[in-house]
Amino acid sequence: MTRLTRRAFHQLGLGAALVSTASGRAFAQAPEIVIGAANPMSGVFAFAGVEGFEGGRDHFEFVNRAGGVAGRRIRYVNEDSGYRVDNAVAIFTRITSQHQTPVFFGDSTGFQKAINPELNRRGTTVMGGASFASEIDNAQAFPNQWIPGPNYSDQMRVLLRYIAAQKKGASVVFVHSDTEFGRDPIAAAEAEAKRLELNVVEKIVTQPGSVDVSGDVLKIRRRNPDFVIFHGYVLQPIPEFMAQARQAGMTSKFMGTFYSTDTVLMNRAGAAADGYMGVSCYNFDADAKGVQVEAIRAANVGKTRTHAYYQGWTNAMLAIEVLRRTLGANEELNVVNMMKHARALKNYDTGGIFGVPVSMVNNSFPHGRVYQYSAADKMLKPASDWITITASA
Amino acid sequence: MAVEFIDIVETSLAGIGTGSLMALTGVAFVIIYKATKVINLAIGEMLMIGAFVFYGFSAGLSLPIWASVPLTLAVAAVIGGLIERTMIRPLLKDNPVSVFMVTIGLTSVLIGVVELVWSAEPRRLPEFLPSQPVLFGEVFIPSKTAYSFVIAAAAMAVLITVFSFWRGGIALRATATDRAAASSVGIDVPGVFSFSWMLAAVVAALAGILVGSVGGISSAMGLFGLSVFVVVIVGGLDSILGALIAGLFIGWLEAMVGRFMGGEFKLLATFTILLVVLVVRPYGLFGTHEIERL
Repeated sequence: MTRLTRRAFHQLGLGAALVSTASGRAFAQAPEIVIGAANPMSGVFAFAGVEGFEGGRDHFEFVNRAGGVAGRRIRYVNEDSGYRVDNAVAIFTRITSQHQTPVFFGDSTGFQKAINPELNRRGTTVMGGASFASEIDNAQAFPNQWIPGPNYSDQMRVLLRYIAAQKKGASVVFVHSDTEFGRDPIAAAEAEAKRLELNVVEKIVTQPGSVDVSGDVLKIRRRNPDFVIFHGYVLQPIPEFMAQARQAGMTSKFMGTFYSTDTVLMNRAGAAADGYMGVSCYNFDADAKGVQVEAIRAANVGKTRTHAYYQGWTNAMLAIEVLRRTLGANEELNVVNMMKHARALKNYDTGGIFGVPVSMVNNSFPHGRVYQYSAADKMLKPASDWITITASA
Repeated sequence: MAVEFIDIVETSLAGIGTGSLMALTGVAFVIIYKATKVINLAIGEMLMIGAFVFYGFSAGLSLPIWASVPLTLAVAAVIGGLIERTMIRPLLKDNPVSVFMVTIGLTSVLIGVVELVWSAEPRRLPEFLPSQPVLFGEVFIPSKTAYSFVIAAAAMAVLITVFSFWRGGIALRATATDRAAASSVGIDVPGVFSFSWMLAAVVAALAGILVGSVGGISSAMGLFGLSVFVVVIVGGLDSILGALIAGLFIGWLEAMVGRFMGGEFKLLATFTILLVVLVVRPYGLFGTHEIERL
């Protein structure tokens, strides 16, 4: 029987250690990049939260299948915020304390405002999110955040410029909810309407949770404005407002901003939403070409996705581009470097997500287009060309 | 712009139409409080689940309206009975705060059920009310407002008749007045409790169908219940007549304030009325003034 001497034992041990180290090196993978998110998967904003999450998730899967970013896979860590600021703050703290998280997606204007000082203090995490608030579109006050499209004021500007092009001196009514979201662009929209010599004949404020708009329809019935613009709503009360206005003999055209310009929601409203016009920065053209829109189609065969899905995808796409540029320049993933590359996005080709090359101005991408919903075809159809707001607030 | 008389009439009628929905929901709240002394904070969510069940039958299963409505009311009665039997009755002997807290929890449970089954997307109910507006001369009333008012008024007339003349209604009133005395004359008090929750759930579901037909449905539509709390506090927590009158009044007031002052002043006006009533008549305009002896 062969005896294992102490010398042979040590030699074997050394050899084994060398082999294991060498193989460890050979099989080591570049560390994952963790991207965190607090999405409202439940609660009043869940319809958008779930879609927004899935948009981001699908984009990261698309990126990982193509090899990740600089050879590093993306790991998307999401938790349900329930659309509550305190929950979202807790999720941010938990995820960023467990992982190095260069990018985090927020769920609301409230959270993105609340966490802003902490983002600035840490200097390690940049943020995109669900908010299009005009207040966040300020590179001095919110230096480490971006908005994946035009802010609400610019969305209203797109609509008003479209109106001015259609009818000089048109009469316009603003209908908005009595919330921070609803009030956001109204002052800027009034100023823009004045500049364009449009006639704002009424502003109607509705309470959150109010169900009956009949009083509001009566208020503008006799004025019969050329255009009625809604802001601060998702779906309700827009279809009912339109139906009652038509019953009352009004011939106005009805318009709205980002969250109410959604094929899925309009399909649920059906005939009542026919003719509704809304602004979006995303390209819903069925024939749109580009790597990103084709990837969306491939990931969603037979499905119609909401606006929030495109928003989630766009946030993820912007995050990947910023990470790619920062790592490509061999720079550390901190807010200074990442936001430098984010702000360098000029005439950036979004692979068909936007219909035009986009540029970051302040914290947003001030491009949009007016769509009109066709109930017969169950789709939003382009009603204008792409409009870029050059004098962003 | 000068205020025209016709504006006042149209706005008043629209407000009364909305108020009738508040009144109907308020009646559902009062039925439970009257029989069991439970303040049910989940009344808005009971309304919501009724609306979604109706959506499930009418849109999901594509059943005709004449079948969807009674099926919805039957399901609502079962839900109301289940809630009472499994969550409320075991706690009735405990501190009232426990039951109150359970109703708060119930709001989350019902919202969760709706989001699990139907998702959180806002939806619209199938159009089942006539779409032609109602015109009285030059006075225009949107069709849904008018027909919702008619249905709500008919439902409330039936309820008032039931409470006045039917044995079950009298048993409910007797239980509300004195549980021990009601039990001593052979009234099945636990049965009355179950009946009150089932009836309230049916009324709330009917209100949910009407509210949903006007304003659409979503998992957040329970917010409508907040306005109803003002109605029942102003009218008196245990007064069906109070809920009826206060509902119509609050609906009218909100419409007039919204029309002539602006929507941002609606809640200010409503809660001012609430404060005044609480100071002047803490038991509401028509509520029972209980005398407490130390």
